[in-house]
Amino acid sequence: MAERGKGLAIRSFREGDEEAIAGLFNRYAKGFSGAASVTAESWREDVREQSWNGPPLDADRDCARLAERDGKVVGYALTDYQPYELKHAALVQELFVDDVEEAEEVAAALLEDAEKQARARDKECVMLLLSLEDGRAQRVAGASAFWEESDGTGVFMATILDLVAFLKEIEEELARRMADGGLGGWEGTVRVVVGEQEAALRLRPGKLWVEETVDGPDVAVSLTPEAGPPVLFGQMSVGEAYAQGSLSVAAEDRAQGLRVVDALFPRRPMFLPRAQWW
Amino acid sequence: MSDGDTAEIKTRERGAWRRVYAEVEEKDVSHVSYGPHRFPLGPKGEVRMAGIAGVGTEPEFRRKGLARRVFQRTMDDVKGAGYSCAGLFTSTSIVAHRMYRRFGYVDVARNRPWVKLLDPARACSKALSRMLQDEGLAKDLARWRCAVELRLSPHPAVYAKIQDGGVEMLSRRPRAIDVSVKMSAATFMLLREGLMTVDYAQAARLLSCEGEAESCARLRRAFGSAHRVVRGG
Repeated sequence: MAERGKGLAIRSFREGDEEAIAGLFNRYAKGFSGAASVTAESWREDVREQSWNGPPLDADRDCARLAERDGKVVGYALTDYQPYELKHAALVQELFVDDVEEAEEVAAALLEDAEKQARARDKECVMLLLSLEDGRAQRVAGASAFWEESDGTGVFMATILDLVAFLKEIEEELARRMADGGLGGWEGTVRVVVGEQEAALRLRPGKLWVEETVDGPDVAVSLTPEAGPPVLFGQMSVGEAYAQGSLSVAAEDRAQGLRVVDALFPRRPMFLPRAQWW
Repeated sequence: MSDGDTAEIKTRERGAWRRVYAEVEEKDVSHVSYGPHRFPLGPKGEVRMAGIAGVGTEPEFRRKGLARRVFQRTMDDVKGAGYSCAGLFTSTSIVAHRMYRRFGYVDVARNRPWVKLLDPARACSKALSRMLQDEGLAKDLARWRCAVELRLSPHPAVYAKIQDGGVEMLSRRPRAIDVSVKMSAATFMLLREGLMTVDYAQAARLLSCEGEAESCARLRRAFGSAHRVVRGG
């Protein structure tokens, strides 16, 4: 176990650590789109099941390294030393730190440790993938002498195949967002158009359901095919899409219409630290 | 008729995942896999997304329309299976990015690789040696002499001498440099891992190679022939 300043130590994964790791992951991922919560069992299964790009944790306990402060797990890093189709690199797949004092120092210590582990395995470099939005992680990586490839290389692309089905799946979430935006009592209909697809939302106080179409909606929002997925996945704000001319809103009370659309489709950070989710 | 038209498109299951592939003479030459992925969009909602992965075509079967046929079949299957959306990870620096756009995919979020090269001189030595072993360069290799400067920012420059078919790393700058290659450490590793092509790196001004023309061409070719683009999505 490597002792560091202020009671911080980095150690190998041990049986029984799954609970602490899952708890830490879930606390971190709560505010992100794309991050499904995990249990101790599902985390372990996930790591074991990833035959394409997962670290062989069963064979090498140092694929998962835990940061402990005063005996409490405050961070962990999951590093793949034989990443899929990468011969010379060690790939840090996950690195999460609890919201603790000097969290960035903990993250830097985990990175430094990954580097040490990679050297021991004759690797030429350590690589990680960071979301363009994650300024905090970028700061830690930069301070640890990691170099950013300035060309935007990794991209998550999506397509909406069935707008009605997509919105139906998140009916409850849309109702929650309206309540969250202070519009839980709003009553009316919203037509949502993305390219050539259309769906309708009917709202009653505390209730929302999705239908295929609606005549004479109170609010009509229209998105270009290019702006549809970024707005629906919370990666582009309604205001940004509006300013770009890729979103238009029609409503008798236009200001109210924009507030409704803004509440339904808020911006939300996306979970992108891993090379791939699947 | 080309392989692109005659190849049979087949599927096989592996757990919850399905692989769609083109078969030519009983060989899987182009493929896409997809499977279910729960994609949370907030505390009270998630969508069932078709996660697309493992997109690839054997080099000798590229540019024949096979990838397009396999991907079209995949998208037909995904729609038939009732997924409301589909998503994939790819790189903006590969041609497949354009193909995905033609199938209606749009960029939603981006990430960037951050790289730390642990020992630049050693990595350069290994990369140059690997290049010299490449069959495409074997001809006249023994007669090729070249002093190379490699600047992998943010690291200080490293120097190498290529002669007698081998590489010798130099501890100091030689009096004359024949070729100076500049790129970031990250670009170097992406080239080395085959995740970026030399042509792309040059076009995107991520790599510059200056100096004696023939040696420059050789080094560029060496990078290009020794590495391959392997990731589609």
